[in-house]
Amino acid sequence: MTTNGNDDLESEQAINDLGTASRSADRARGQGWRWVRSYLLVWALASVGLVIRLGFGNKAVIINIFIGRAILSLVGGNWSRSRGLTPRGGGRRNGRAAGLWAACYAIVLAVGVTRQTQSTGFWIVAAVFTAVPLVVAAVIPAPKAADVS
Amino acid sequence: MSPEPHPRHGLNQTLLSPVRLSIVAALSEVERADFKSLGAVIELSDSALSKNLATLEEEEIVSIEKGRINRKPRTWVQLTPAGRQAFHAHLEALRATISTKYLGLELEG
Repeated sequence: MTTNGNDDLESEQAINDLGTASRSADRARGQGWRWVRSYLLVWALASVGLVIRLGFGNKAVIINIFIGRAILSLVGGNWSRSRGLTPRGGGRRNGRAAGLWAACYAIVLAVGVTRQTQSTGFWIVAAVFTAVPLVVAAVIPAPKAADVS
Repeated sequence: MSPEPHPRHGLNQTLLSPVRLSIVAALSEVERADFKSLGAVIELSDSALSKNLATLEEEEIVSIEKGRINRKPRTWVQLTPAGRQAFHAHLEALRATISTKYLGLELEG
């Protein structure tokens, strides 16, 4: 076989190998980011429900909500640790979203609970406000493949 | 002066297997993967995955850790820093192989 013939075969093989690597990397990345998005969106919905109940509940409801919130965190954290694929950068994004959510939630508590706000509008806006960082983190596109392109 | 070595010499022998290349490529995009999920992503049977992971572990391309979540045993697989480097180098060698071919064509033309 000529050198050019060998080069053709090697190039074809290289193209195939790069394709194989790219497909596997894309699948792993896609699946990993899908669960990160689902996790953040479920959390955002739970946050909206939590804040609305917080706004319209009496003291007993508020205590139950805090207990529910603790259980939700434990279950959510446990669930996220048990996922089979953790995409690169997914943990960082979850961490940032969690930090921003905690800050928003603290502001809502500080303003709403300490002032005993009864305004329906306030609690609806507050509920959406706490969900914003989670929804934003969920909809931002996943980073591009790091190694295979 | 000796000519530049052909890019094929930069290929990693362990990653020449398409199955092992798929495993490493999938792992390159995740912080870690559990055995079952990895098998599902690359559509490989447990026994074939296990066999290929053993080879990759032997070559220190991946690290395997056994643990438990909710009392259920889980096997976590991760690309080692050396494995990531080897994967990068392998990809570069593959790209260079293609470039060399086209460069050759250009010169001939």
